[in-house]
Amino acid sequence: MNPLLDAEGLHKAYGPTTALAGADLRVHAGEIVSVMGPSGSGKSTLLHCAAGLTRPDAGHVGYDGQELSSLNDVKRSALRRREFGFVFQFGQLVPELTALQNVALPLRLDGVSRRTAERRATGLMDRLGLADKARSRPGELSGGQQQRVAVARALVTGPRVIFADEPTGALDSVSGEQVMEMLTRSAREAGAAVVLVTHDARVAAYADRGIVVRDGRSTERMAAR
Amino acid sequence: MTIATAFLALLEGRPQHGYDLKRAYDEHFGGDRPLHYGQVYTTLAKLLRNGLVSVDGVEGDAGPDRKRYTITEAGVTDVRRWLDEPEKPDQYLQSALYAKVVGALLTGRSAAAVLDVQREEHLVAMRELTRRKQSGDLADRIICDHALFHLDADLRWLEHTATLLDELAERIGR
Amino acid sequence: MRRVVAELALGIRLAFPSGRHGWLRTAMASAGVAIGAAALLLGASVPVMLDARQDRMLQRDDSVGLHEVPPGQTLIVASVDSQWGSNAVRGRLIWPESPAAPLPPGVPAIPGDQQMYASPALQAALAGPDGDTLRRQMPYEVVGTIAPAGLSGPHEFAYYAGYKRAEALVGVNSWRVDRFGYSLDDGEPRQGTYVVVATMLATLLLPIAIFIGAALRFGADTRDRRLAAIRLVGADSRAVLRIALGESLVPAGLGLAAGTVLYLLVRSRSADLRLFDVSVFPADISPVPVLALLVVAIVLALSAGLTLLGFRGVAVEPLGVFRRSTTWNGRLWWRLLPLAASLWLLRPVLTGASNPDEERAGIGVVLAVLALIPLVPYLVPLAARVLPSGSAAWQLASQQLRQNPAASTRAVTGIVVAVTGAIALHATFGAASARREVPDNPADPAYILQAPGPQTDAAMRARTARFESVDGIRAGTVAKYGLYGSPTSYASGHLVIGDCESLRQVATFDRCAAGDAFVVGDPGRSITLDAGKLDPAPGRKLPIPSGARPARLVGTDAQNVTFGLLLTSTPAAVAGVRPWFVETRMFASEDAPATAAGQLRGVAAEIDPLAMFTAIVPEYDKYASLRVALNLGSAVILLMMGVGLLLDVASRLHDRRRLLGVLAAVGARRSTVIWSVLLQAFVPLLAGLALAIGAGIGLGAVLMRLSQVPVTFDAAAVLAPVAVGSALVLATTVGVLLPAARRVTSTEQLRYE
Repeated sequence: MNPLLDAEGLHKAYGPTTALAGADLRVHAGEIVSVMGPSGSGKSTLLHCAAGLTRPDAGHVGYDGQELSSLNDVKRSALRRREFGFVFQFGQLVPELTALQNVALPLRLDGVSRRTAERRATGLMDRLGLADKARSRPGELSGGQQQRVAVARALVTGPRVIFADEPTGALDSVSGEQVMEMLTRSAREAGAAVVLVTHDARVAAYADRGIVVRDGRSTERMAAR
Repeated sequence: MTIATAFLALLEGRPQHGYDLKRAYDEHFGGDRPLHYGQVYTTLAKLLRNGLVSVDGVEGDAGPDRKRYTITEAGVTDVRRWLDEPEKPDQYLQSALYAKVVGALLTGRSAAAVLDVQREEHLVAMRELTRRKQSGDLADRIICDHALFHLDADLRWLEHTATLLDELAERIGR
Repeated sequence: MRRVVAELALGIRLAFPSGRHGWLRTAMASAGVAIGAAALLLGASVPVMLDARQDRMLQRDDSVGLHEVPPGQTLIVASVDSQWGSNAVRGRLIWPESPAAPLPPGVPAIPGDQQMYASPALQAALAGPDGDTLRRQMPYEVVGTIAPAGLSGPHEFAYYAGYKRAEALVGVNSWRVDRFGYSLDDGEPRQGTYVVVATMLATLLLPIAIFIGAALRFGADTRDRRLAAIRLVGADSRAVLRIALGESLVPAGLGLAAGTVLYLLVRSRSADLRLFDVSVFPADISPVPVLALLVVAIVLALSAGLTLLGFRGVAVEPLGVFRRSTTWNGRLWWRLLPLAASLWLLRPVLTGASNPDEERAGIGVVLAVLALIPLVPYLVPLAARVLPSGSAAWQLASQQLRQNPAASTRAVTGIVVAVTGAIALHATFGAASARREVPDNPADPAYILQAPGPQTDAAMRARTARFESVDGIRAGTVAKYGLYGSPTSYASGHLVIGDCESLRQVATFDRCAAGDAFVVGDPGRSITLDAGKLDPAPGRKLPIPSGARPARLVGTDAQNVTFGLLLTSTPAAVAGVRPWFVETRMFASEDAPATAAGQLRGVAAEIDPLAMFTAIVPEYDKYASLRVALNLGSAVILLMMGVGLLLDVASRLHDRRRLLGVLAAVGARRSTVIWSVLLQAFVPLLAGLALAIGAGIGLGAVLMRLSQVPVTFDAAAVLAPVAVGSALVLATTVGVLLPAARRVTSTEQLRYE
C-alpha cells in the first residue's frame, strides 16, 4: 500500500545550522507515527517540511500523489484547511476568539457559513467533552483545556493527517495524558493519521510505530541505507 | 550477560591468554567484583567444550595460564546474536546494556545500532503497556504507569548514552 | 466570495478583543481616525459654507458701479461701512423714494428716519461694554433685527438705518438702487493668506495621518502573531491581509462615526467661531455630497493603506512572523529629493521675485513640511553615531536606534512636523503683529477723516479740538481744494488751508505765523481751483501771495502732489467755495488706548455719518484669531503626538520586556535599563526638534516674505512650540513610562517566558 504522506531525503539548513540532513518520513492512512529525538535533532523541522509549512532545501514530500513543494501558497493553505490538522505546543489558539469560535475557525476560513461551522464545532466539542468550555476564551482555560480545544480544532474539518508537535510539552503529566488519550482516540475514530513529534517516550508510546531523528537523519533513512 | 559471552567478545578483537582475559574482563565488565581464576578456567573450559573457542598455542611451561585462546566461527556468531538480541526490558537493564555497548565498541560493531534496537524494544513494550493502560481500570493504569516511568528512565539513559558514544569509543580504544 | 466576507468578518471580530491592550489599540486608532475624519468633513464643508455666504452677500449687494439708476421705485442708499475692533461694520443709510422701493434682504420694512434694523451681533455689541462709544457711530433707534438671510454670518456687524438726509446727497455720497443683488466684485484675498492656511492644514492634517498610523501600529506585533496562528489553520497570505484589513475597518468605521459626531458638535458651535472676520451659520456647514463620500473613501483608504504598509517587509507565515531585516542603508540622496523640489518651488520667494505665484509657493511650503518626514530617520542614526558612547545605558539605546531607526522615529516624525509648522506660523504672526502699530509712511497719520461740506477757520479748529478730546490723540484739520492744472499733465495740485499746527502735519517749512503762505513745487504766479465734478474744469483764480515761502509736503502726499499752495487762513475769494473735503488728521501716541479708534469713529460719525474715515494703521491684530486656532491646533496635535510616542515606546518596551528582564536579572542596575529606554525615546526627539527649529525658521522666513512682512524672528515665538512639545513628551514619558519600565524590569517578567 502506498503511504499517504511520503517525505524522502529532506535537507534543510537555517543559515549555517543544518536542521535536516537526509530525513525520511512515511505515514500510511490512519496510522499514528511518533517522531522522537533529542532537542535540536531536527524533528520539528521534519514535521514542518512534511506539512508543507517549510520548504525543504532538497528532497521531496508527496501527499496523496501530489508534490507539496510544487504547490503554491494558496493550495498549500487549502490543504492545511481541509486535509491537515495541527496541534502545537502553544500559541496556536486565537486569544480574542472563544473556544467555540476557535474550533469553528478552519471551517469559517474555508467559506462554511457561520451557523453550519459553529453547529459542527459544537457537535465535536460535545463529543470531546468540551461542551462547557465553548464560551470561554483561551485565556480562561487551563493549559490542558487549551490543548484539548486545539485538538478539537485540528479535527473539525475531518483531516486525513494531524500534525502534533510536542502537544503535551507545556503540560503536567496527567493533563498530558488526557490530551494524548483524546488525540489518539479521536484520531483513530476519525481514521486520521497522526504525526506525533515528541521528546517524551511516554507520549510516543501512544503511537503505532515510531521513528527517531538524530542530527537531522531519521532512523527510517538509516534503516534504508 | 554471562562471563562466557564477555570472554567471547573480548576474544573477537584478538587471541588472548587466560590471564589477559581476566584483566580485560575486570577492567570493562567486572566493576568492583573481579573474577577469580577458578571462574576463568571453568568458563574457558566450557567454551572449549562447546567449540566456541580454540587453543592456538602454548608458550613455555604447560599450564592453563600459558594457553592462548582464539574465537571460532561459532563463537563470533554467538557474539553477534548476543548483541543483536535486545535485552528484556527490566529494571536491572542498565548494567547489561552498558556491557553490550562496550561489547559493540570492543568488537568494532555499531553501538548506536545496539541502542536503537533496544529503544525499539522499549518502545514496543511501552506501546503495549499504553494500550493495556487505556483499556484497563485505574489499578491497571497505575501499575502500567510504574513500568512506563521506569522504561522512560531507561530510554532517557539510552538517549543520553547515544550522545556519548564517540567519547566512550575513544576511551575504550585506548 | 463567501470566504472573503468570512475573512473580513473575522478581522472585524478580532478588532473587539478582550484584553486591555487590544482595546487601547482600537480606541487610539478610532480616535485618530475620528479627528482626521472630522477635519476632512469640515474641509469638505468649506465650499458649501463659502458658497452660502457668498450667495447671501450677492443677494444683498447694492453696488451699482458707474451706472446711475433713474428715480422711480427706488431706494436711496449710502454706505457707512466702518470698523469696531476686529469687526468690520457694514452700515447702510437708506431712504425710499417710493412705497414700492426694494427692501434689503433680511429687513422686513424700511425703517423710519433715525431708526435702524441691526444684526444680532451688532445689537449685542451695543448692549455690551463700551457699547456707548459704538453707539456714537450709529445713534439710531433699534426697531428690529436683520434676519440671517441679510447677513454674511452670525457675527457680522450690520445695520440698515433710515436717513432722510440721504435724499439730498444723491450723486455725492448716496445712490439709487431699484433692487438688491447686483454683481459683486470679490476682493482678492490678501497675498499670503492662502499659503498660511495651506501650511496650517498640512501642519494639522499630516500629524493626524501619522497618528492614525502610530495607533494602528500599536500592538501590531500581537496582531501579527495572531495572524500567524490563523495562517497555520489554513489561511493563505492574502486571506491574512484581508483579515487585517477587516480588523482595520473597525477603527475606520468607529472613527468615521465619532468623527461625524465631532463634526456635528463643531458645526453646532460654529456660530461661535470666527476666522479672518468670516463667521458662518451652522446651517451653512454641510459637506458637498461628493466630497463627503470622498472623505469616507479617503478615511477607509487611509486606514487600509496604513495597514497594508505595516506589512511591508513582514512575512506572516504559519510558523510565525518573519521580518525581512534589511540592514539600514542611510543613503541620503533620495531623502533630499522632496526638499530640493520644495526649494525649487519656493525659489521665486527666496530670491525675492516681485510677484511670486502664490499657488506654486503654497505647494512648495506644504512639500517642505513633507520633506522633513524622510529626513528624520536619517538624522537619528546619525545622532546615535555622533554622540559619544559612554554609559552602558546609552550603548544599549544607541545600538537599538542605529539598527532600527525607522521604528524609533515614527512617532517623532509627527512631532517634528507639528513643531516645524508651529514655529513657522508663530514666527510669522509675531513678525506681522510687531509691524502693526506703525503706518507704512511714518509721516502719515494713524487715521484720517475726510468730510464734505463748507468750511470756516473756526469750525476747523473746533473739529480738531473734538478729536483731541480722545486720550492720546493729536489732531489737525485742514480744508483741501483740488487745483486745475494742465489737463494733459498728470501733475496734480492742492490748495490746503488750515492753522499753523494743522499745516505742520501736512508739510515742513521754516516757521509759521497766522497769515503766512507757502508754495509747494512751482505753481506759477497764480493757481486756479478745479470746479469740475468728474472732469476737471477751471474755477476761481487765486494769485500767489507775495510773501509765500517754499514748503515741502510730507507723507504719502509728497509722492502724489507736485504743486500747491498752503494758507493759514481762508482768503475771501475762496470763502464761499466748498472744498473737496475738510480733512482731519489724527496721530495716536504710544499710550493711546486700544479703544481710541472706536472713539474717533464715534466722533466722526457725529460730525457726519457719511464722512470718510480711514484707518491707516490696522485697528486690530488680523492674525489673532488664526493664532488662537494655531495654538489650539498645535496643542492638540502635540498632545496626540505625545500619546503616539508613548504608545510607540510602550509597545517596544512590551516587545523587549524579556530582554530587559534578563538585563535586570543579570544585575544591570534598574537606572541603567530605564535610562536606555528613555534615551531611546529622547534622542530621536531631540534630533527631530533640532531639525524642526531649522526647518521652522526657514519656512517662517518664506511665509513672512509671502505676507510681505519684514523677516524677523522672535526667540519666544520660535522656542515656545519647542518648549511645549518637549515638555509634553517629557511629562507623558516620565509620568507613564517610568512606572511601566519599572514593572517590566522586575525579574518577575521572566516567569512568563
